[in-house]
Amino acid sequence: MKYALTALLLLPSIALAELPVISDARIVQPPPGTPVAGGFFTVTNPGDEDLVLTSVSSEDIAKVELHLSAVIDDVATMKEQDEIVIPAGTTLEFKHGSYHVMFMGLESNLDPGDEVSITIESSAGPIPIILPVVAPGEAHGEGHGEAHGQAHGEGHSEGHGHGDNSHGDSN
Amino acid sequence: MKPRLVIPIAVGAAIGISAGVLVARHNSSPPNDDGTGEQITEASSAADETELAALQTRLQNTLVLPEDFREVPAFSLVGKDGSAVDETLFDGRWTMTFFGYTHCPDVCPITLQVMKEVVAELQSDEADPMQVAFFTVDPKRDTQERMNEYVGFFDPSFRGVTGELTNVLDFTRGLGIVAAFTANDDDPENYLVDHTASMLLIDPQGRVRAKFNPPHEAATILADYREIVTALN
Repeated sequence: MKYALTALLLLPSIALAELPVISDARIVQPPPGTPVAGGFFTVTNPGDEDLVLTSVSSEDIAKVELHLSAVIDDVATMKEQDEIVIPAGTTLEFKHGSYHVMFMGLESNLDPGDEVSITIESSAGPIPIILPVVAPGEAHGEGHGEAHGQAHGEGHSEGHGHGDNSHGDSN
Repeated sequence: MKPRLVIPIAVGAAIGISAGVLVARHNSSPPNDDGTGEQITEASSAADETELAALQTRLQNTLVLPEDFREVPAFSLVGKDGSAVDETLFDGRWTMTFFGYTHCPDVCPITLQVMKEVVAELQSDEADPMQVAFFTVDPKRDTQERMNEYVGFFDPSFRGVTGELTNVLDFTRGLGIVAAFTANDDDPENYLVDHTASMLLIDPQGRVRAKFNPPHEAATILADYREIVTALN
């Protein structure tokens, strides 16, 4: 963290070029009355150092955590993650059945068109992300497992803090 | 592919052991004292095995099970509309059955969404209709009203089933379904529930005939379902 900040101060042009890139940010609309929801996005770490995500918070929803879903011996399980490491030069997809942002204690329904702001604390500093709510089945890649993933990060080289509203139209 | 074949073959051996029962069901003529009955038994069970093994090779992500693998136990639960639900739920149609809870943000909603796509596709083909039944493993939070709201959001025709905790657990245990609760000390209301991720395909006689493995994807489920229903109907 300290090193990353120092690098930012000393070499702003280089450091900016290596900020994490967020794309395909979305929350899949939960059924009405459901107090939980999952947030998904793709994060690319173009830097030379590992990117470590350590926590998440939201202005809009009080309780939010970084989670990992997995199926182990045919049992679907889910655990809060203390940190998520994205090695230098790699991309990590938050998706169904894997990493996701878990929203809990929702007090009102999330509907398509709504947006939720979150901030992820990371080794590269805070990463603000806006997640638009999309209807189930309309989200990029929903229900298609590994069938996508080649177009991440396009048009986002300006850096982080950018929810991608383009999904669901052309995919 | 190969490891999946191990289980049906192992279960096939079990069929051999209980072959007398199968003969009684399939052959109207009584077994002979001279041992020919036993030979017929072995031959027919070998044919069943061959048939199942052939079907298995055509499946992408599903394990087909012999017809005496497991029957749905008798149970007494509550549907999302408040009506009583018991084992007759499965009578006369194929039912894709799966287990989860409405506080599940990830796997459960996507599975319901995928099943909505599967059913829509089957309808458009006028293929064998499939009943979809979602059983909660967390009836404490998943009341009948909650199930109605949650399951109905995806497709009002889907069956959502809850009930008394002990009845739910008897039912899931009877089907070999796992449900494990993880306490959340910081936030007791938001405990997590680990649960079996596979879906069970139950035949119109209430027998578990296939286990659909995760990840659940509409195209794979459709293809495997059509193979199974065509072969076993």
